Amino acid sequence: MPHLPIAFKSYLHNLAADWRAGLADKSQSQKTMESAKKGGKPAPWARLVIAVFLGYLAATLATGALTSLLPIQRGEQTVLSLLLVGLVYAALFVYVFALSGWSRALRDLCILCAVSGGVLVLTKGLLF
Amino acid sequence: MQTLRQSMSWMHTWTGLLFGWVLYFMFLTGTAGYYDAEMDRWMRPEHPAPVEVTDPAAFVSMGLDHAAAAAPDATEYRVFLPIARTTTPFVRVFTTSQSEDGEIVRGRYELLADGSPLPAARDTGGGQTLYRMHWTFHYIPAVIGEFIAGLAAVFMLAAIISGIITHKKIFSDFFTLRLAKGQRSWLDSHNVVSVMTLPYQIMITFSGILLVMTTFFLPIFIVHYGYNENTQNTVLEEVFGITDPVERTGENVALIDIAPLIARYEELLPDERVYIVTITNPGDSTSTVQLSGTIADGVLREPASVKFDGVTGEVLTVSRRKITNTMGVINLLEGLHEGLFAGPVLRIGFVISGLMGGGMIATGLVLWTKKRRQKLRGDDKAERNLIIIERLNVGVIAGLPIAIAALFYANRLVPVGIEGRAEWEVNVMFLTWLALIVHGLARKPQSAWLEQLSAAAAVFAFIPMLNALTTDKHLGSTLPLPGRPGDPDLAVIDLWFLVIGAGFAYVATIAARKSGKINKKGGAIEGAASEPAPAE
Repeated sequence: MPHLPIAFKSYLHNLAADWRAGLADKSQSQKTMESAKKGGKPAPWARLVIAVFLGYLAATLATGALTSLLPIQRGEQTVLSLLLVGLVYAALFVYVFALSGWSRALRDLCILCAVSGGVLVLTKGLLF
Repeated sequence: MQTLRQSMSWMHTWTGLLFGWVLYFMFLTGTAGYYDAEMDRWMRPEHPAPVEVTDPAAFVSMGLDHAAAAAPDATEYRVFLPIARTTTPFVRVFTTSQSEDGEIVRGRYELLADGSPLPAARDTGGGQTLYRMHWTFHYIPAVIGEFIAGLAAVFMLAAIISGIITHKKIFSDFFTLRLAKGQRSWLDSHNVVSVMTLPYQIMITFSGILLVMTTFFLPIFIVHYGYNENTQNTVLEEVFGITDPVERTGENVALIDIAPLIARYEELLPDERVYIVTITNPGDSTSTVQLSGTIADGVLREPASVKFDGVTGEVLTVSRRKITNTMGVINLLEGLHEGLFAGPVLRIGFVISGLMGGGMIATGLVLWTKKRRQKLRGDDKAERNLIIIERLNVGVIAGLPIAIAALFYANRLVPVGIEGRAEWEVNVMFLTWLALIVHGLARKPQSAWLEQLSAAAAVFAFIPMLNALTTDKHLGSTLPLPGRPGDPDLAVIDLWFLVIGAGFAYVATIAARKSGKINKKGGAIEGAASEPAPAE
């Protein structure tokens, strides 16, 4: 990719700053942006990895959990999940990129996975 | 802090960029798929004129007789009548049997109106191969291809959503196109083609995700059904209504006459034509006859069907097109994606929208390099990387259409009878593309754009002439004229080649003007060939 070494270096710098700032520290995103202003915008790799992999898991679990709560047959729940899961996945992409810090995206998607997983355990029974 | 619009702009750029080339390939080959059946015929010029179904019952009987003679112990016969453009225009017969060691043996036959076998044609993948590339990518396993296509579609959907949020004045963008203004013109072009076809782009992207959902979102089934040895069968039954076939009893009973069943089908479903006849367990007391319509008769990708008892003729089930439940929404979107229902005019609209989708991605990719170049002035290392992207863009964007044209050249020029001929047609296409990517890397972008766009214009314009030189099914005989029906399905392919060639000629002229090789009136500028104008 063009500009990759510089962007990646900048990204690594931000990554270290983010860890030091702590996950819930509000100054983290500020530091990231200040750092970004100096060395160009940070590359989106962290967000992309979170959006692609964790977003996929979260979208699948959240859509499954949401539809499993509906009073319809299991087959219909599955079809509704298939209809919605692509939209939810794309929406989570947008959400991850709309946030100013990647660590908050990581935290939020982990919470979504945990809650959805909990709902599925309750609605579907322990591991079916 | 970044505003939401800034974040979305950033996301739009990166999501579009990462899958831009893949999406461009998907859009172009997918758009070609709107004429897959016509291209199939064009690429098999040895085949006779299409069969016209005058009496469906007689054609079905003919197909079943052929199936019974070819595979007397089959567990299933299927006869496809050539009533829709989704098929080859001949009677197709499929048989499924089980060998003594339990292996499934399948047979496929194509018949003419008199029941004689269809004459052999050249070995070619036809338009189906080109069409299927847009989600299978040909050289990789289909499952991996579907995963890539699904992920690319999700990236595209995210890029569309972020693109909409990014636009402050989406309505005025529809009417704004400032030509000859450098980067501004690229941005305007990107906005215009995106906004004009926005509903199409949203539909085609979302429905594209739905079409690969059973592969790409396979875990959804596990979420709802768990994972054990029965999962697959339970899903097939509960979600898709597919059940295991009934075991044969071994009691031989003659199959009921099909003609009255077709009459009953037409009575029960007056708006549907019989397209597929499926006989399960023929000649057994458990036999069933299912008559199905075609998805090309409506926008929903779900045919209507009636299932009869194969011995008594009793109606077992009547399935109308689903329009009220969730599967109906999915079928509607998938039907819109494939556009099989579209008549000739709407089909042209689909093709134009698809090509504009390709244009949207191409202008977006070029725009990114233009913007990047401005930002990187003075940074030699980053500029070197950017130059590679700029040059790759030429080979990918301008080279792909030429490679697609090469597929049609190969269809006419690769000797008939060589082993693996169908595969060689595709190899020629991708080798051509590779050569053009190398050409793009080797030349200065401005020269490479001009050369490849000019080549695209020439190769597309010449295909109808090559067709005339190598077959008797050329525009001189296929174009409908007063007093001559011609063969519009074949003529339309040649006409599209000419239109695409003219389109590339126009774009090549603009490129030549920008490079300073011709003036506004089209005249050559002296000395321009040796000293092209610097890139913007």
